[in-house]
Amino acid sequence: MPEPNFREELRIHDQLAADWHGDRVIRCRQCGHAFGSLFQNYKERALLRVRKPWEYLPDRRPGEFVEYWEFYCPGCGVLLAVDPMGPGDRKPTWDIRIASPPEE
Amino acid sequence: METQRLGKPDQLGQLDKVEYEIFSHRLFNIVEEGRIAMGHVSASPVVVEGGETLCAFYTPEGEGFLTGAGILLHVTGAADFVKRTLDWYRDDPGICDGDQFLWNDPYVGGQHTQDNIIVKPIFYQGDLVAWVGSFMHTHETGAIDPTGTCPRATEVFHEGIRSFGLKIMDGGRFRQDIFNTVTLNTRDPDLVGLDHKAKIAGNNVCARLFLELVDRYGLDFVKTAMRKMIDDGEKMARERLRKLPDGTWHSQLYGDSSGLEQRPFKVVCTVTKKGEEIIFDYTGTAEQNPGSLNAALPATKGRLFCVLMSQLFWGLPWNEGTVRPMRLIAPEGTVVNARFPAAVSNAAIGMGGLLGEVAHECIAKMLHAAGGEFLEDAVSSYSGSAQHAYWYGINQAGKRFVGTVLDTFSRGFGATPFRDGVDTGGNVIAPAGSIADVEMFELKYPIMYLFRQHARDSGGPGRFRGGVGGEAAYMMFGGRNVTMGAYGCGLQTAVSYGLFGGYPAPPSRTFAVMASLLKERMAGGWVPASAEELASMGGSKKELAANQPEFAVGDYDVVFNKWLGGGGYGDPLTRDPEAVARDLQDRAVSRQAAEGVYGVVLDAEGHPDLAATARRREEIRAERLRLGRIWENAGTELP
Repeated sequence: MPEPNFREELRIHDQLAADWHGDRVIRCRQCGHAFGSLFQNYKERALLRVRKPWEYLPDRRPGEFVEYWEFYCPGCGVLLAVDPMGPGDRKPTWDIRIASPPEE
Repeated sequence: METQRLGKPDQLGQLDKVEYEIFSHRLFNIVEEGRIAMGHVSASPVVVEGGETLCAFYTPEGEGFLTGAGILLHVTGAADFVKRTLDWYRDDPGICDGDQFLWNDPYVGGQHTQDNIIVKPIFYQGDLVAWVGSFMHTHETGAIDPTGTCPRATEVFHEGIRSFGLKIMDGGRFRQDIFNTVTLNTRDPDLVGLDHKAKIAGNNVCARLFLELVDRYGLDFVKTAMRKMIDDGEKMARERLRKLPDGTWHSQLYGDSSGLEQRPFKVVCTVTKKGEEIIFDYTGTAEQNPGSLNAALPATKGRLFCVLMSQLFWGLPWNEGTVRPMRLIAPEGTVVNARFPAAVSNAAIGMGGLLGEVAHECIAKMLHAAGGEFLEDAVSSYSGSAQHAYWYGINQAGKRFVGTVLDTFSRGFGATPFRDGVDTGGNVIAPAGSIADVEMFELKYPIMYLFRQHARDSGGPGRFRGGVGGEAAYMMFGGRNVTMGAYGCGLQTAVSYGLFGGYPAPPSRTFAVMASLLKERMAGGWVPASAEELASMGGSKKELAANQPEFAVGDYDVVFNKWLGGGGYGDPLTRDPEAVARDLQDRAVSRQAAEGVYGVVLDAEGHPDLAATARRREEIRAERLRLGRIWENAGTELP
């Protein structure tokens, strides 16, 4: 994985970054896939798969109240987020909105 | 009563810097001495081992200027008690030298009725110059259910006696009538009484040593230093905030119990940071619950203080100046600002974890975007809420007892961008606390531990995995008329988040096995060592609700409790296969999880096949690309 360089890129997420002084497009740091503007929700342009939570556990019990919405990069398939979502949730949460970068 | 106000701002620069540093460190040592004194007087495990205790100093007006390393939930809440004492009792019955006031109403301060504080005004040459408060989680309140965190409560009136500034010390005289009233109304008056006397002792230690400092440095110096401590806290907090990016971060989690029944409810937090200020907005959070899974506003404020001090403002002074740049929006009538007289006894255990974790997640993402020195503090979930089992009855010495599981204080910590979370790392709200002492627990209660160990798969998977939580099995032995129940949150939801593709930790679990073959099998030398072996003993198995009203248990009945670990960080498919193999060997992950979520192919001895692992991981990525759908193109049919 490339080392982060915070002077050149605004790394909004472990796998996502944008050039604040350039086009301000969110890109995957693995494959370069473009998710759109820094001022849009990257999850709306990610691949979404809805899964039962904890299905990897040997002693998983039924009766969970939430689903896990898993978001992947459409370019390389890296897992970007695992969000617990309830019955009334219809839209991905917009978890990161940067208004201005940190002080240099 | 003459109130001495703090030093004027123009005096702040006149303090000798060296003397100020010596003074402030000595003051911190004093509140530590007070806390230790409380531990020596109290006999309650939640105090002595769990560390749920705190001493703090307040200005004459009730603003906290220094707190010790006890339970951080109560720094702001305790200040509210001092302020209310001034508001209500300044004229009648008056506030005099030698007085001490006992409070525990959760709508004034603290988290729930179990949080008892005694505040003491400190007078110097006849003038009020400061306050000291000693705080303690008292394990029993005389509520509708044992302990005071109540599975059956629907109003705060069900949650035990509430004290509103009772003058338990009146001009230096101990009030036996008040003491009897507040102890004999509980199920365990001996330990509750020692707790109250411990708080008086903590206050006396702190006040005496504070006055020695006043004698040494002079009142003007002390007043000016008190102001400087608060102002420094604010200044440093604003300085740290300026280094962070401006923006908005959002998180949501679900609880799984109203307090009365299993049902989901949502807690939402939106954090907006701009310049030197930060806003925590809980708009969108569920309406208040009919049971005890609620927080009154002081509890929410107290939890947020804890979140800020442990993650964003660590290393800064623990006082109210540090949180001045923070603003809280908690809509009234929601679970984070319940209207009186809603039941709120689960504010600390159930609700506190939820409202704290959503704030933690927002801060973690903000710190990640800041990068540099802040990157290491972008920590995944600390494991917010757990479930606590409790017992009530007659112990092996013939005395009435109320005992609560304290092992859940050793929760797993979250993973970071650089390393796994700490296994059974502790309790972030009580940095001085520890896991229960098994021998002391067995000495006090008619309960034997069958095992206590790290819990496999209890940390959230990720490139760096969450620290694992633990599991333990408790066997009843030697008691009479024993009942048990449980309180908390997070059996059908996980009060935990993963970060950047890491998974949340799985939920907690508690079950009882009753009327089994354990007695006969133990006679043959067998002792169960896992949940699976408990299931092999026969008998009837009862899965407990998050908030479980009491039921009877007898000798050789067993309760199993598994508490959650920390959240994971990053995509689990990017975890080093050798680390996964070590986790398997260490019982931190199961083979099913190693293969299913980490995509690591292991041979019969548990060694990773690196070539096969690479192929398997490619298959999983291909499956993600094949089965995933772009949300904005998916319409109403979610994949």
